[in-house]
Amino acid sequence: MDHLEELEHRSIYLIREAYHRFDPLGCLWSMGKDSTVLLHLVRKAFLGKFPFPVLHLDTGYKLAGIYRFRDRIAAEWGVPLVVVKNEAALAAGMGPDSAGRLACCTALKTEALKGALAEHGFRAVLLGIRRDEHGVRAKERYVSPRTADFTWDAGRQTAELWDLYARRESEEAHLRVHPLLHFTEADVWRYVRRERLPVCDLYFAKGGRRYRSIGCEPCCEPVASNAATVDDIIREIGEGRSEERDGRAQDKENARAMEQLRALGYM
Amino acid sequence: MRRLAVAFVGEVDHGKSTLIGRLLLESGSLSGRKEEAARSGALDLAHITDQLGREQDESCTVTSAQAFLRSGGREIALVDAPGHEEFIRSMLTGASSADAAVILVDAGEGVREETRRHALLVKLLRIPQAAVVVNKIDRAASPEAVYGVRAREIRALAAEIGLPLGAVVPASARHGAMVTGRGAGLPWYAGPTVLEAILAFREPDAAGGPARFSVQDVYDFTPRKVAAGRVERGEIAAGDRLIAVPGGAAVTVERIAAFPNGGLERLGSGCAGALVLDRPERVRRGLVLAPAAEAPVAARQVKGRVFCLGPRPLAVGARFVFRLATQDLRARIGAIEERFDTGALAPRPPEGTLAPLELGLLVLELDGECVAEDGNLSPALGRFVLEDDDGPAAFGMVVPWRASS
Repeated sequence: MDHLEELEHRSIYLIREAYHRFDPLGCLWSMGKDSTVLLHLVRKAFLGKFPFPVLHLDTGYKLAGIYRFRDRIAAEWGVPLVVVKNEAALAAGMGPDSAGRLACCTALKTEALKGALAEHGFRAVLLGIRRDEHGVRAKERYVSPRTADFTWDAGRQTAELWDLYARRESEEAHLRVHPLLHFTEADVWRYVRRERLPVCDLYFAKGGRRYRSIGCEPCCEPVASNAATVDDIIREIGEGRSEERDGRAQDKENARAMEQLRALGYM
Repeated sequence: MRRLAVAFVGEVDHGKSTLIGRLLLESGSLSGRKEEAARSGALDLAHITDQLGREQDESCTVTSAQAFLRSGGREIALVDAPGHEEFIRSMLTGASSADAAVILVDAGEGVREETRRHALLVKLLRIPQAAVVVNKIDRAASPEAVYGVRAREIRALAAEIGLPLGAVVPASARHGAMVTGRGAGLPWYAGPTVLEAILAFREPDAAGGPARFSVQDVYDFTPRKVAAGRVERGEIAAGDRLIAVPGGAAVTVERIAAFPNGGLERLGSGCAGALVLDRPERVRRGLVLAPAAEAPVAARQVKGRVFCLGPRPLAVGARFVFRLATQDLRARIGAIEERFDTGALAPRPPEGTLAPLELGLLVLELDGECVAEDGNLSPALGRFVLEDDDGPAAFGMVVPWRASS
């Protein structure tokens, strides 16, 4: 078994475990490369079917190319898509400029997810986060419980032995399941290449710039790059020394890491 | 080749996180921004994996993390496991997925309680290869002599628990000696650097022998009904005639379904697959498919070497959920035959209980038949957890009946 096959089989096994053990199950899709790979792995696990709903937490501020990609893939793959919006917050004018980035992310993503969990009663949701994205995500488990108020106590996690994914039923309100935890950014692109997966065209350079990470229009900046194909991107990541989420201004975790660095005397 | 995971284990404050930070820095695996911060001293090497505020405040890893080392065209996942006994659950989370271990020993302090416990757990978890780093060697007044003492000490420990040991490397993670380069202060040492010792770890062999397929689920919403599951050892091919254990019902593999490309000829060890069977109604989650001539034996009792995770002791008569691969059963502790202090490496008289951090030989009575095998042959069928509402209370490695009698 080669490297990508091993990653793929581990993910599929976990997706099937989650489907068996956590009912009802949902899957989050942001239309980024990671969660699009996640959706493809779900299709592989269930031989082309989606036995559970796929949620898009729509902030209303996504880059236009993301909506076009969503609608195209949803139609081609037969995705049972549920678009979730915090309509009340949007009606009240919520946005990064009016309320600040952290408040905006909380209202339009976190609160929207809370609303969807309450409405659909999901026991667990699949998410495409990876360990190499950020040092705090490197601490995550494959199956990660959240309490009713959504808190995650990284220091008090239960043991996760092999692939006997544990849970702590006494405290959990819902579970986050992370089938891509062991993929790196480069693995995702190599997997996209091997499986010939479609990705949003915002990832490919136009006029010397491309998005390395995609999200909301006001909070995402393209980075300098000439990578116009998947091969170019794989080469660029292999040589590059920048960080994947450098273009993500709203990144709460980065802000926190920066704060810690600053306390240690960093600029 | 797949990417190996290397777990860094050992006593708290012997330098695991700092060594991982040093390896990432010197191998060029960090981003430009982090490298600059680390070189200027603004970023403590240990904080590259110790990202939680509490970990940085207390200078102690609380929960295990992974970082990716890139060197010589290879990528290796470095697993930072906490060394404090309070965080043993997290250490096991990191170590249980590892292909190799690096055991750290502080040159000044030598082998301590957690060094012994972690080395024993590396053996128990069947991590097949291990190296040792005698860290903080720069602090020793006569490094060569101290290294000799520590190397003998750790080799004696490894011999006592039957752990095969590779290189024993003297190093200073703080100053970078013998980590990726040799440094100036250790001319008497001729063995590999820490990085060379890590790159020498091999990919463990795939589990061979007669096939075992754990059924995870049966799907009827797919174009044809399929039994989804995983090949735990050996190989499954279209046309195979198998039996489902327990029970012994016969099934034939008509096809191996796959998406998007129709079907596969065969599935190797470790593959998650979906089988189209002639009699899908004969299988369900928890059954193990195997060739009739070399099928496993199912039993209502399992004997295992069990490590108690705490916080409560395990007692004879206590009930748990027993989980082994896709088999979920109810279990009662029938007997505790041996009891072992994992910090002192000393047997204790079994008096009907197993305290947290102790290792015992337990007999578990199950409410149904279970397929449990020698983990050396079928890794996933040779290990289990005992769970209650708070998650895993213990984990265990199957002791085959024949070997134990």
